[in-house]
Amino acid sequence: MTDQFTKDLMRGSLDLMVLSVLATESQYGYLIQKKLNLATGGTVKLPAGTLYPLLHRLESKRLIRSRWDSSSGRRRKWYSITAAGKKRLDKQTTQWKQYVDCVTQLLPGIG
Amino acid sequence: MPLPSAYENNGVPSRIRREFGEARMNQDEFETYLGLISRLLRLNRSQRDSIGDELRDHMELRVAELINSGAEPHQATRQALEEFGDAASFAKQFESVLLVYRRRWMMRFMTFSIAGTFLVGLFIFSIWPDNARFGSPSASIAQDSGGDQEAKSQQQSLASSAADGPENKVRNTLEKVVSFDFDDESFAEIMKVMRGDYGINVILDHSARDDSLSEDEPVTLQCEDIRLGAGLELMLAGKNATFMIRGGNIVVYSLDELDNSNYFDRRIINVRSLLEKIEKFEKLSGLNNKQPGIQILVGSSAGHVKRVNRGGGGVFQIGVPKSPTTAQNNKPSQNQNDAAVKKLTSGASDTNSIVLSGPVHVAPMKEITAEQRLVDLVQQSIAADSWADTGSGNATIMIVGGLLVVNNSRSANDQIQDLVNGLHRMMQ
Repeated sequence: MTDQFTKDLMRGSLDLMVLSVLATESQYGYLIQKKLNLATGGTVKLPAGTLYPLLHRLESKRLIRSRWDSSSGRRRKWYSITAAGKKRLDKQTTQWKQYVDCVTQLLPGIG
Repeated sequence: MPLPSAYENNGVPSRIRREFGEARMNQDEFETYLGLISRLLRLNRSQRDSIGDELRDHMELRVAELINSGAEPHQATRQALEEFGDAASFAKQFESVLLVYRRRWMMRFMTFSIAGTFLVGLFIFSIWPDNARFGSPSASIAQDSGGDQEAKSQQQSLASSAADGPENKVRNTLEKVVSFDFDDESFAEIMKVMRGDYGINVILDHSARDDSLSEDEPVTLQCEDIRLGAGLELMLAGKNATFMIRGGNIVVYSLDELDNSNYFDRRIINVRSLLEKIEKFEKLSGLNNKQPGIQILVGSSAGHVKRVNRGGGGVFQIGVPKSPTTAQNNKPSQNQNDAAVKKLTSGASDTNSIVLSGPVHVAPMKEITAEQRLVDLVQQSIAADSWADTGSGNATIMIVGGLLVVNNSRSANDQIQDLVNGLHRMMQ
């Protein structure tokens, strides 16, 4: 699975992936991008021009929250998941698994 | 991969390549890039600073990473910018997010506006005179809404009297407009209707029974749209009877007992604002000071004064003055004064042309109070003979603290109430 996923395939699952990265601890934008890339073996490369609008959209829906921190000497914006975000993540994870099972059973040579 | 058009238009890549060393971006060029995004998104300074700091951090981290992995600084910068995307597509991605924020702000604004409007409306509704729980000065009500409001306020003041509670309920019922169609019906039937339809017990007093009004007495009354109380009054008048309200019941008694204080009805009417209006009206018209002499006080010596006549004008006191502030210095004899008084009283309608022969002391006029005027008016215009002090009856009337307290027959008191209400309306 070395090829990158098409945009159509990724659409609808990016929120789930970002929420999943933030589920354990607070992250900043660049780190989120790196973790997504590493976790997917380089198949998911989320450009900054897509990542930041997505983060702001999730924040506007109150699924994640942000805070500025300058303790490292650099002003940086950290994101963390909210309770609503965790609920959404759980719900979407369940749906995603059901969806994958359905598709797996349908596709020839897999089910 | 070619550079995005936005960067080419602003010349960012070439300048950044030249000035980017040790993973440090050229601040001016990045500001230009952010400026373009800000213009596309119509960001304010605060939003621009926030997004700029975040993107700047990402860009610097990415360039540093690429340099650490062996890339030349200019190559690292070029790659980082390419990965970032052009300003136009970035702005397009952000636009939907900002739209959500703006829509949410609008919703909040509208919610607060609606809530504020509702609260203001609620406040106005609560302080509106008709709805005020805490009341407002009765004078204000009268000025704003006319005499009917004042009359209403009086009725409310009556209703608030605990002692008049049951009576007031009956009075309100008697104000209902009804139609009568009794043709030779027994009075017992009338009593039954009063009890069944209006919840009022009618009791025949012994005086009425003695006057030959019994339950079997046939009664005839046919009229439409008449107040229940007025109809009953009309019906009983034909039987030489009337009624009073006592203990929440209607007691029918003989008209022969009209002056009997045992059958009197006590009525308290708030005339405070009416008195103020009378005073104000008299001040404006100058009635109390400028009209020709009406009230004349005559005395033969200091301390003995007799009222001869009264009205709205000045007061002449004729007597032996203690201090000689007189027209003449001659001391008058008692006979001279008496002669002057006789002349005055005999020609009372022409007080301006009186010529006093003896020394006359003109004392400062004592004004008639609004209270006295109102009492006089009531006593002269309603049941004139019934008053204890001015007539031959036993009825009493007085004003205490702006309240007119009357003890007279119910019908007389009703007339007084109507008179007061009418005065309120007329003096607006």
